[in-house]
Amino acid sequence: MPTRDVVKTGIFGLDAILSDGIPRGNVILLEGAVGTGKTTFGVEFVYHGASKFDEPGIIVLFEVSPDKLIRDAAGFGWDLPALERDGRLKIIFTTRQVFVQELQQADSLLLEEAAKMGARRLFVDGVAGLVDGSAPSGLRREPREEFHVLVEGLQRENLTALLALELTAEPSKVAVPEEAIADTVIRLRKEELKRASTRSLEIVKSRGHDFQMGRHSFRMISDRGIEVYRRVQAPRKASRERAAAFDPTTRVKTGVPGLDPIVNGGYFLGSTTVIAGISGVGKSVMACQYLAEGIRLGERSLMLTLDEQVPQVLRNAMSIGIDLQPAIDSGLVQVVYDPPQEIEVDEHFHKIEQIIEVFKPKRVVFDSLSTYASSFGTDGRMFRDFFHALVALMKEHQVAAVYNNENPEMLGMSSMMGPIRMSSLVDNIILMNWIELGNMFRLGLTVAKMRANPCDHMTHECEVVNGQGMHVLNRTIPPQLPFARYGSLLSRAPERSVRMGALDENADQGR
Amino acid sequence: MENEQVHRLLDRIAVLRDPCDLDLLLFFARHPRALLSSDQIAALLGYPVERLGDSLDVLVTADLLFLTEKPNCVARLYVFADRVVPDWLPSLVGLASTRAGRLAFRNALEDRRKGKPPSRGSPPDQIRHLKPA
Repeated sequence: MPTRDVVKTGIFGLDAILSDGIPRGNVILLEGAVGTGKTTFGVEFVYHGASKFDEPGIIVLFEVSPDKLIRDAAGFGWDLPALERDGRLKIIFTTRQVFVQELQQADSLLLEEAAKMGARRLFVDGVAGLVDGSAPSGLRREPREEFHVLVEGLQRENLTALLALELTAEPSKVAVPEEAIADTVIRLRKEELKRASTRSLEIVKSRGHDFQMGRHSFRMISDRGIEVYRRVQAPRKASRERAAAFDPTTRVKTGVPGLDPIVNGGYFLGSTTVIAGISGVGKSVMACQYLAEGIRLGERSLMLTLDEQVPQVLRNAMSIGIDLQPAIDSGLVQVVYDPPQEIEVDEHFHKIEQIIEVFKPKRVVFDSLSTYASSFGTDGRMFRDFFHALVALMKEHQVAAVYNNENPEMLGMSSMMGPIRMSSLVDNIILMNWIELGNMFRLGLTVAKMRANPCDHMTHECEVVNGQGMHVLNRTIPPQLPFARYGSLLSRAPERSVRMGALDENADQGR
Repeated sequence: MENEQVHRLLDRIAVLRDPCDLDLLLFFARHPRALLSSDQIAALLGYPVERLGDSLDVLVTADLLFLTEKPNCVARLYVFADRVVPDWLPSLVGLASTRAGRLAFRNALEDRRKGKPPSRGSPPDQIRHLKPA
């Protein structure tokens, strides 16, 4: 099978979406409204061609002054004057009228320049108006025909041309004749979400190769340029989809005294565990203990926190006698904070993928699932798709992942995961619940679900011991009665068992 | 002092005689490779085509501007300072990048054209805030 001759864009993340690149010679229409990033995209396409792939290029400008383009490119770390000096780039300022005339000439000055320097790429910034019928009435063609003539001119020189087209309305609402003729259509959008604004990129069509459909997020980052993040829902490699079968023997210890016996010795590799409970029950404490156990066993561990910044996590861990800093310094532990405000799902997932693939942790804690839910919303598919993708990623890398989840109910629980209705995706669910007995709140821990494992479903008392973290107790703490003396512990109103109560009274009298 | 700077620079450049020469040179400094007709350049700069033609000749004769043309093409490809960037160019562009700076150059060129002696003493108001590039 012959090797496909493709042009790599060199834009971070984009070539993977394009199945390695765009077939050479394709005419690419890059469409989008003002401010969507068309010029930056086009300049980066030519810049990478000239600087990385030995493919000299030409940038044609109509309104933007070349010196401003050079200045803006420098902000992304692209030294265009150096490429010009080396003869690998030419920036040509012209008018639309001249440009159209040029491409219709058999001996065009522009195409001669391209041939002289061996140009392989061309970026034309702003083809809107090229086909507006400005030619004399006798020579005027239909816009579609006009664009076709333009494309023919470009193809004569075997240039891979990127033509930026400014749209004033969503393409679904207007006819864009250029789309039918172009070989590849890439649409850039700036999408408003309440008061936030995000950018997305969609490959609408591309002749001659496969590509990943849908809207992928992208950012324009100083000193780096454009970074495209494949949408979280897009299929990944087959190995990830097949990764559900995990090692059924290796257990990952929880680090919480008394908990391992209840969970059959620990969580399976590749399993998904949710610890659910209202704020303050000790979920983050258990997360720190999970990391500490990893440190003790020399296992790489990661905590991804949205709720607390890294110094705060370290301080909290220290308060229960866990010093994470040496393990962070030695590279055994990573604590990563990503602020949840306006979190962008594709970019965030990309970041997690990168960490997992490079750091290769055995245990990971997410603090917390409920913060993801409040950021992405639980009504639409965004959160569901994200969580699915996260679980698949962890299974592929055989990570024992623990997700803290804030359940809003203070006493009793009417559902295991609150508004997040995804318990079927989760292997293990541990419920942490306040129980009011007498004039005290006491903490109950119930293993509500343990997939493919025996599970006693008993509610065990536990507590955070000063300076030592969470402990699961096998009996009551005096002077209170053990849980076994009560009924309906997970209801909002547990009752002391009458029979057991009578026994207690007899016992008291016998003393 | 700034006025003196302007005159010294014009002495060094030597070829500039008319404000249109200056504006054309500044245009090409910003657009060093332009595929345009002389009509279009004249329209962009706001000069009569004949005047602009003279200025194009000035820059071409001084080897600051190179042009390629083809019989069937209305436009010409103008390439500015392609081989060697003159050492005075950054100073000129820097000083003329403000309204006051450009006016100072234009006034100086007008004075020279009219044969007035250069006023190198106290600077006119419009260039008091000029800074060297």
